Amino acid sequence: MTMTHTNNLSAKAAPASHGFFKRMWRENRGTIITLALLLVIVPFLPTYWVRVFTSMMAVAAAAQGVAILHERLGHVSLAGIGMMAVGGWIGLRVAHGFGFPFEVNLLIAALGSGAIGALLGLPGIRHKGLIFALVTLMFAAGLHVVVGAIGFPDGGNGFWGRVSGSQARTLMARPAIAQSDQAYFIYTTVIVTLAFGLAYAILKSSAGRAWAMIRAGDTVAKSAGVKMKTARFKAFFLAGALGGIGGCLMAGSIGQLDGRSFDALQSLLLYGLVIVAGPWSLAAALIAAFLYRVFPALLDSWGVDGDIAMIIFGIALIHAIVSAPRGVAGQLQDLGALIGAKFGAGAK
Amino acid sequence: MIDLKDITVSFGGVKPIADLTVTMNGKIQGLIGPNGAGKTTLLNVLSGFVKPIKGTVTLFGTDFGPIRPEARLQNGIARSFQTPQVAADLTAADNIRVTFDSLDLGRADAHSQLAEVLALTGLTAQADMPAGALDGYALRMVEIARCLAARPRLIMLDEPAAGLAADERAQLMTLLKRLPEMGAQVLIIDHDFDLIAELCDRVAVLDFGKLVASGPTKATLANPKVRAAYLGEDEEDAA
Repeated sequence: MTMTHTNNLSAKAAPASHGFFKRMWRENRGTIITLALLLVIVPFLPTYWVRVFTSMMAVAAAAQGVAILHERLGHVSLAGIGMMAVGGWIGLRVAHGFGFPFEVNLLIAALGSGAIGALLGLPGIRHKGLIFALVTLMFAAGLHVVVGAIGFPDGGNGFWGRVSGSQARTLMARPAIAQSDQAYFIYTTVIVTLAFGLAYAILKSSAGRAWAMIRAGDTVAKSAGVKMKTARFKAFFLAGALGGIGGCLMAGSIGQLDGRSFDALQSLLLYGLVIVAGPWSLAAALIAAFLYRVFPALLDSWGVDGDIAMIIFGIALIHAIVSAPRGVAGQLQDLGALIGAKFGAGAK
Repeated sequence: MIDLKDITVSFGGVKPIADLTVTMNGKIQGLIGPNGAGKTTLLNVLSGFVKPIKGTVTLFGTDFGPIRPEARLQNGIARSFQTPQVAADLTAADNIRVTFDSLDLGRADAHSQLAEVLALTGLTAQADMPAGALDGYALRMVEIARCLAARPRLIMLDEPAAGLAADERAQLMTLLKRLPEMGAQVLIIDHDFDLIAELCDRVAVLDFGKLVASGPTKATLANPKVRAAYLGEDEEDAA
């Protein structure tokens, strides 16, 4: 078809496509300011807390993947922590096997776990809701059994890379520029920030638009010509890759991983916390990771059993579902707007 | 040109369309019928969401039976919905860009065509607003703009004037009257007699999934069978 209406149009200019970074700042300034504050403050905390916050940042990457699948595609992925295990395993294996620089290990871990995430997402092409949630939960449970049995590579020989007998275990080397705990926290935060930036760029790209249409409904997405399988495949790949980045960063933090840290319930907990945090916002990943890693540590430090956090999370989840569907991120945004309005009114 | 032959649709034994054969070649083609006549089911057949158990769907000389719903846009077939369906968290412009993405249109072409489509539908000022913040008329326009972005050969609109105020309805009609000039056949599915009478050059009338009449609008709407089926008039009185 040839459109012949171009001569009598009242406006020729396409809508303002604001600069990418301006738009990112406008939509995510809370997240960006929080990341900047973490970068400035955390390195001055005691080493224990630096390590806790490093772990939080690694979990935040995986949480972002879970949030994207939930919010953009309507998929419940209960394998967020499981994907960290995948990325951690690949990162450790490559590091011990080939001695690549950390960044190369990280990239391979992201690509590998992205590929496994995409494979895991195959049922999600046809099934949403409970069926897909169960598939991912069973994957996470199965993975826990597998890593429990084979363990994580620790410098040994063979495909599994496990040491035997009295052979000493080798820790994964950190990046040359981030040997200390403080430097590694900064390194991790920068990597996770870049991953968030990449995720944001993808959300604003054709892939993100396709996901938004799928979220609006399969029928409308198909009518708009969205290639459903390809779009979903990309989302699962991205979520897997983010989990893999988190896992590899975690491995670099500790130098070694323990299969017991990756049981399926942890993935379930992470999903619940993403809902509490408000997955519509990029900040959700940070909030969820804070609740997952830092909050229980805070309770412990105050002499309260950290396990009580589970009760608090349960109540918070009910609150989020019943009365705060935009989650903690939404409530913080409303609070910020309220303060801004009062401050503005006061200034006048 | 829409050519349907022996179309039968069955939902668990219920047949909302049975042995329907009709050619719809109006520039602005109407499809009317009372509630439950099978209009929307037929639109779903044309857009590939409902597979008929029998019959062939030929659009512009091509058998569309094997073409999947998501591939129909690339083949020049676009549709809207009774209730506007948009991605609420995307801007109006991004909702339209989805069509360009689907057609793998280059960035420069997409940019200029987006401006055209926005201007044509009167959405330029609202382009950067989230679709969730738009009123009903603007949402309807976003849907139509998304269809027009594909430069379709056939654009199918399901009750496009539903819920619109009089002035919005007038604007919509002005827009729809321009579409044939751009090379698009328009299929309007509605049960608004006045809208169809004013807009369409040809109309087909369905009742209980069967064709009651088809032809030039004025003659068809005056057909006693149509008035009896549609307006409940006695067939003899109508004659």
